[in-house]
Amino acid sequence: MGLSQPLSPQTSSAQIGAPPLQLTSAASNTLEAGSIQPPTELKGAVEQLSQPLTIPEIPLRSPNHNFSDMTRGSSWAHPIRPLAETPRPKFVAKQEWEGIVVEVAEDSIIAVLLDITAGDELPSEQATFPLDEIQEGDRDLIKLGAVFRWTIGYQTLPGGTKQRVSQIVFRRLPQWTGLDMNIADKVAAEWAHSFGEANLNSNDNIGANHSTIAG
Amino acid sequence: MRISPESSGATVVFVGKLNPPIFQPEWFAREGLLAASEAAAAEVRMISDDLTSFSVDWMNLHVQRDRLMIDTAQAPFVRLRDLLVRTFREFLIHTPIYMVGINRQVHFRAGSFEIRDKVGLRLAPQDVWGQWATAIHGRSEDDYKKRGGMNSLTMMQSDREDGREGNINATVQPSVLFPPDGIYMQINDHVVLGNASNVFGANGAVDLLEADWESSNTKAEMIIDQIMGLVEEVKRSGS
Repeated sequence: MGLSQPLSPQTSSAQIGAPPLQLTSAASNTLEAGSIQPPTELKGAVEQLSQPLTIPEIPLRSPNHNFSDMTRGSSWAHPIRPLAETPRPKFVAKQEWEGIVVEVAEDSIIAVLLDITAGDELPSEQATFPLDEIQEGDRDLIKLGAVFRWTIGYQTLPGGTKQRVSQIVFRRLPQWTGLDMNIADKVAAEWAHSFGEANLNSNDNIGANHSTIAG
Repeated sequence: MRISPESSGATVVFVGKLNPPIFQPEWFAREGLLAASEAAAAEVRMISDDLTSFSVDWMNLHVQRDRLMIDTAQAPFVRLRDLLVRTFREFLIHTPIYMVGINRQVHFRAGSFEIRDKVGLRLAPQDVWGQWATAIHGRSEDDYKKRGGMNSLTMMQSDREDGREGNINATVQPSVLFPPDGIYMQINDHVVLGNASNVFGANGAVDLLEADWESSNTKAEMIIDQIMGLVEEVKRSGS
């Protein structure tokens, strides 16, 4: 990895998800999928932003294009550039737990914790968290059995300031839908029917055996 | 990971047939997929029939007619999985998704430019380039901007342990964010679910995320850790 600059725009919180949008310009139209586009200087980007937007026609395949390129997060395999995005903080986790709420008090919650970083499969700790530590947007998710991630790590602000942060994020997990309930009812009914038949057969057999014994 | 990254992120890409204008922050909030406060503070870049692009505090979302990409550089990354699973399990179940990419990205420091350079040489030896090798290396030992070498290397695993169609691609590059010693890695876990003739909904993609999210991330971090191990080995051995 000598020292030449990497060709991909790579990441940063804003750039990791460089959107698959291309601003039209004579230069960008000459690019082909599979080729690598050097990073655009800011000046060039500003000039391009003043150009009209169109959605690119990204060829599905070119002689040197692999389908897996289509599901890459960064855009180096596609000749695409990000729209301007506001730089956002980055948060690198050092330690992560999954918590399950077991008690909700007036000003705190108690939860059992599963150490994700250690790869634990069963909760091994319990902790109390003041409600003040929970984000406003997550407060309505607090209830018995609610699941959250507690992460401790380093947050880097867009200006470069690095700070140690503890963060609780409640998970918005799938809800039971009417369809789910119907499917569950159907499966339960099928199982009940099967068990009923099995029991019936079993009783018949027992009866038969008894008959035999009795006989 | 044995070296703490300077930056770490995750991206999920869906390839399929999508309807971009559905994916608005207000819609996510109304359905309980995002907090109302997050949606209200969203940075909306575009909402149109062909493209929706917006960011909230912790993620960026870009949807075209044939591709959805969502990314975050803020732990916990499982939020991406939860958002996609609920969106496509509960609301957009009939949206056909043909391919899924679960991607992990990190930037980490090698410790010095010299160490990074040696890591590059281990991954892609220059002497095989014959007469050009000397020129690749360059004349300066001190000016890293004049030093050539490996710029991007992707290693692919095609025979997946889970039997799915697809591959795992690991890319190593010099980091643009953390010069002169930063290394960037991206792991692309690419799964092909089918095509327009045999995929009629999002179930396959959702099932994949539910079943494989943790294992995909574990494997990605294992692969990243191998290169971090190489960095440590180069530090120890000096070559």
